[in-house]
Amino acid sequence: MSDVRSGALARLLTNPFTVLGLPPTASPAEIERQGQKLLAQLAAGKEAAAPYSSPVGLGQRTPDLVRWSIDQLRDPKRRFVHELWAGLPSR
Amino acid sequence: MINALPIIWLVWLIVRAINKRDGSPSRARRVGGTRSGNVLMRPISERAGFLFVWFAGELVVAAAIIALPRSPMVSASVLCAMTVVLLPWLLARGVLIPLGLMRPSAIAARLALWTFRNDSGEGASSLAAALALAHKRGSRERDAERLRARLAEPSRIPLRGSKIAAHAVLAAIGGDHARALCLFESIDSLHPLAGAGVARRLAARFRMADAASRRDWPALAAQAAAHRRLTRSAWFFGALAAWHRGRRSAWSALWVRLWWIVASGRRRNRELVAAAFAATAAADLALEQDAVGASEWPHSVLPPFDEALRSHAALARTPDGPGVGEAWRACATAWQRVFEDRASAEQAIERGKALGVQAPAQMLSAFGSLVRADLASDALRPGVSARDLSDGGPLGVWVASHLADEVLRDLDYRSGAIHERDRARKQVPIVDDWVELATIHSKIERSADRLGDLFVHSAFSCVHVRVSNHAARIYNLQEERAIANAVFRWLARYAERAGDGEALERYRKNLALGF
Repeated sequence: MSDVRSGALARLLTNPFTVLGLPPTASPAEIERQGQKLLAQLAAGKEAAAPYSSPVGLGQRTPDLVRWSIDQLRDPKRRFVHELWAGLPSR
Repeated sequence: MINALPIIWLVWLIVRAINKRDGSPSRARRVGGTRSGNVLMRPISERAGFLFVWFAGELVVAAAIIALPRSPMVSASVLCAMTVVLLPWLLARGVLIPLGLMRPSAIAARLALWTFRNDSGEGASSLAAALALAHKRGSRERDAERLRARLAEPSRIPLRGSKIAAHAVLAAIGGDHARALCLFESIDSLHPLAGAGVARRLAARFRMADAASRRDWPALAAQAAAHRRLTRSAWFFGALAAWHRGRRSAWSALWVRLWWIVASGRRRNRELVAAAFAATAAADLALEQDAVGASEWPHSVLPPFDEALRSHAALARTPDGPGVGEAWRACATAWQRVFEDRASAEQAIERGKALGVQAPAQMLSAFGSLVRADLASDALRPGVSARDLSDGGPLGVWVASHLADEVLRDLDYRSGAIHERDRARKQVPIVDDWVELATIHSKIERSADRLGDLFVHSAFSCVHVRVSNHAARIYNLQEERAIANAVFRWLARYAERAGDGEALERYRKNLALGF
């Protein structure tokens, strides 16, 4: 990943859907399940659970980032904006 | 044995002193004004004490050498002592400052009448002491505080380049990088006779190192080109900037290493050289990966969102430099297509309703604001030009107008604060005054090229009356003529660019008064 520091970069890198590795169509139950799974893997020190790919390069998952992502997607308004940034799926 | 040059200078100075008529109307000597009369009739504009020191010093050296066979110890001691008197700055720069000896450095700098011929005395000693402090090992808070207090004391000596550089070094030591950079940048706006070369070199090196640390290669290349005659470091930074901007060959690599060896600050610059060559392979790999990633999104996205999001990601990934302008234009154009597409907006609103959002249209509008904010923030990156903004369609126009509004509001606030202080007849320490004026200058300078002539016209109209009144005030009442002259210099430049003939004429008259 290039080393530019911009708001756009952070926005795309830490999009909750990208962090959780889910599509924007994921249901609330899927989000909770995936979040808990990742938290358990990170707590167990599973190194493979930390890196994730995003449209702007590789990111590193932390328990705080995963918890923040789950929290963001619980609120419909925030989820809607994050869905737009993650890319509304074509029909 | 005696050098004839000082004698010739001495005779020339005596002739000029005899011919001196109609000098400056004030007690303080003025330089930097409009030249009139021939070289023998002009008032003496520079201090020439160093010539007398050299003249007397060479006599002593000659006497010591003649007496050498009879009393070698005494002659050798005299020669050593004369080295200190005749080459004080060499001693300070090579020995005293690196050892962190503040007081001896300050004394040596006071003796360096040639090196600080335009700015001797208090400015020279403050700068040498600040540089020695920067080299000092261990705890330096107490010394820094003492020097800061000394610099803050009211002084009859006007503020010039060396003292500004001393304040900048102190700010850098104290961790206030923004103030240090602002002060170092301001040294460039001073008349060449209002500061020592040492201060200008230091300022150029600091600014180039700052640009290199921010990886702002276009700015680094421009600064290196401007300072090539001032410091060897400019050649090194110029070669480094060229390397990062894509001029990569075995010859370029050799050039970077060669200038690194020749330039000062080899230890500090070693990391930059290592990073440049290490980054090459990594950057090529990243570009390859990015090229693959650019065409891939984790899932298929609703058009025209798909292209806008991809170009947004591409803009975020593009490093500062020549490629950013093109990426910015592509991104602005793609988002404009999204904003104009009613079908995708309706689908987005439907999705919002399905999620249970009360006012999805409002949220969509908030999303649009985030896109605009990102574009405005990225438009400030090195590599985005006025042309990119004008070619960016309606979004480009919006971003240019938004950035201009922000800068103009800030300029209005800053110049208004100066005006209010003048009306209340309040004074702040002159260095703080100078920082405020230099900040206004730097804000206009940074935005002028990106936002174009219309912005320059508005910015000039916004600040020029208040700033010029203040400059006139510090020139007349505080006798801080060198910095007032610097303000008139940049005001004159912008008056010309803004096409204000009347203001330009007034500033030229002020500049002709000298300082």
